[in-house]
Amino acid sequence: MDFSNFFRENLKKEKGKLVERKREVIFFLIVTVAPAFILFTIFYLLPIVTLIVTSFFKWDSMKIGGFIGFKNYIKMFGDPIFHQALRNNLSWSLCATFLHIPFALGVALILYTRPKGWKIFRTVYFLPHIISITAFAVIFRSVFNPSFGLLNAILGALGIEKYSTMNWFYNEFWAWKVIISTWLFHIGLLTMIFLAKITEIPVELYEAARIDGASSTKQAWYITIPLLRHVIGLCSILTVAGGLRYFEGLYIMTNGAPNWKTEILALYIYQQVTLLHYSYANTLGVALLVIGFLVILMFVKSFRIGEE
Amino acid sequence: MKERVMNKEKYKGEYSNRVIAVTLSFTKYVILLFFAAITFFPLLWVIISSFKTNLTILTSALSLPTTLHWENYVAAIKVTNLPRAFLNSAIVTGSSLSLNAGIAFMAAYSLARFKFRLNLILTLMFSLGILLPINSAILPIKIIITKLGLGNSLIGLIILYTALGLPISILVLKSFLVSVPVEIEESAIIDGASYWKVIFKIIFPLCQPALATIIVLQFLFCWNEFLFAMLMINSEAKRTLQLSIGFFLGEFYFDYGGLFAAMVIAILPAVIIFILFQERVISGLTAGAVKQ
Repeated sequence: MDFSNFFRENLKKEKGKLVERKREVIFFLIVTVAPAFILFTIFYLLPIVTLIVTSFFKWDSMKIGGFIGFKNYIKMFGDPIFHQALRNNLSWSLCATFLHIPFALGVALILYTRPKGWKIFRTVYFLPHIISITAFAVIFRSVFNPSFGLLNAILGALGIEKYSTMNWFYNEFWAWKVIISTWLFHIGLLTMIFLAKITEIPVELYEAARIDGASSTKQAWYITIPLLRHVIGLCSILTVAGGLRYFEGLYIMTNGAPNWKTEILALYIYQQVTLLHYSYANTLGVALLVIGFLVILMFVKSFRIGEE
Repeated sequence: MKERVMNKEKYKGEYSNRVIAVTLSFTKYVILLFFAAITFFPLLWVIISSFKTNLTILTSALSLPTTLHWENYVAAIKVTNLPRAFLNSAIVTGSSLSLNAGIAFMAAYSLARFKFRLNLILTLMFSLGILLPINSAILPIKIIITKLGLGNSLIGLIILYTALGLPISILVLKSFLVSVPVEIEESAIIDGASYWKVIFKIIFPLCQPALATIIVLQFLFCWNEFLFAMLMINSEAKRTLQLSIGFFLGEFYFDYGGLFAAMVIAILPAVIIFILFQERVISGLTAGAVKQ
């Protein structure tokens, strides 16, 4: 769909007006695209270029210093906190692809059978996408609070004394697992994406399978899931890319404590900025950007998104 | 006799089928309820606790309030500057929503309808812009905003949010516009209408479904954004809603009832809007995610 050809043909008919029309088109293009282009350049391209360039300079306070080559990168690869952040980002991504997505897919398959009250379930599942992460983080601070928290109260009521006084966010073994659990079960958006795609699958396929005697579980496994390959890939990108962006939840819940056990890259960059380690923060930024790019590339390749 | 045995067997088979069916639907509901409870229970607990005194919150976390302690809500409004924060968030969200929709619509129209050299490059850049973690560049963005003289101002936040939301809005609108037949515009232009008239009088109203999607996406993004708001805004009077929520834990250090009441006030408007426009919001968010 493009109407450049339409113009070319029509303009031939009225040659006198050609120059005038062409000017009008160019003017129109500039006026419509320029605002978006300028904003994109200022707030996406320029920051990314600045990020990459300044990562090669010394820059520890307001004034930018001399060129230091790969010094920041060498420091980064030897930085144990960076390693911890990378490990956490990786385990986040693994949980997202191998737990979060199967959960969402399973619930979508159940909702597809339209059980009674499915709309109420849908509304509840969707709430975490409406309420901000910030608000949820404050709520989870209370839920996991050692003295008056909901979790410990339930554990106490169930008689599990061993854990009912646990300070979850400050326990080196539990902190990161608890953080993961705060988003792992919020499956609303992915469930709805899967549900929309499942509904698009032609009913005839299932009818044929039913005549051949396939059970509904078998139908899901052999028909639905293979047909959803693309959308599973897409959802993986969404959750993993979302994980790379995740900041405010951790900032409010633990801010990296205890002992950097809950550090992730996005949070570490912010902490370095507040410490005025500007060029090191930007080096970490480049790392995050490269990782984001590789992740997208990997998922696009492995799920062959964009091919039929 | 033989017949009776057969009947019995048939009955047995049916019976076990029914057992399987009942267990299956039972497991179904257990799974559905598990996910619902894990989302809903903490929220319910916050609402219930917001009516309890500090003492009952600390001593019996699971108990129901004996009387409704509305004074928590009075305290919440006194301690926080929530009305101001709501107003700031509404200003930022509303302005950036309209700016974003207008700018994205114009750009998307030209990208969908005209062939020009930058077209493919721009489309590719916008697609990457959606998925790449732009928060890697918080420092450059903060410096650029300050250099533009927009530091610590709502206008700076409005412009930044507009820009950050552009890639997804443009791509959603573009993929919708590609499916709108060009014949309508062609005949209007042959009749002598200017492009401006064509896009604002004819095409803009046609794009309602896609516009609804980007409005939902942009609303949730602006209303819930925290990181950039924290980087840009230093003065208390200019705090957005999410920023003030971020400060709740410090402000209500020992007043948990007040904290819970403030949380309820902060969350409630978005939840009410969601429940009112549920279908729109869900289909908008789902469509927006798939378009990426």
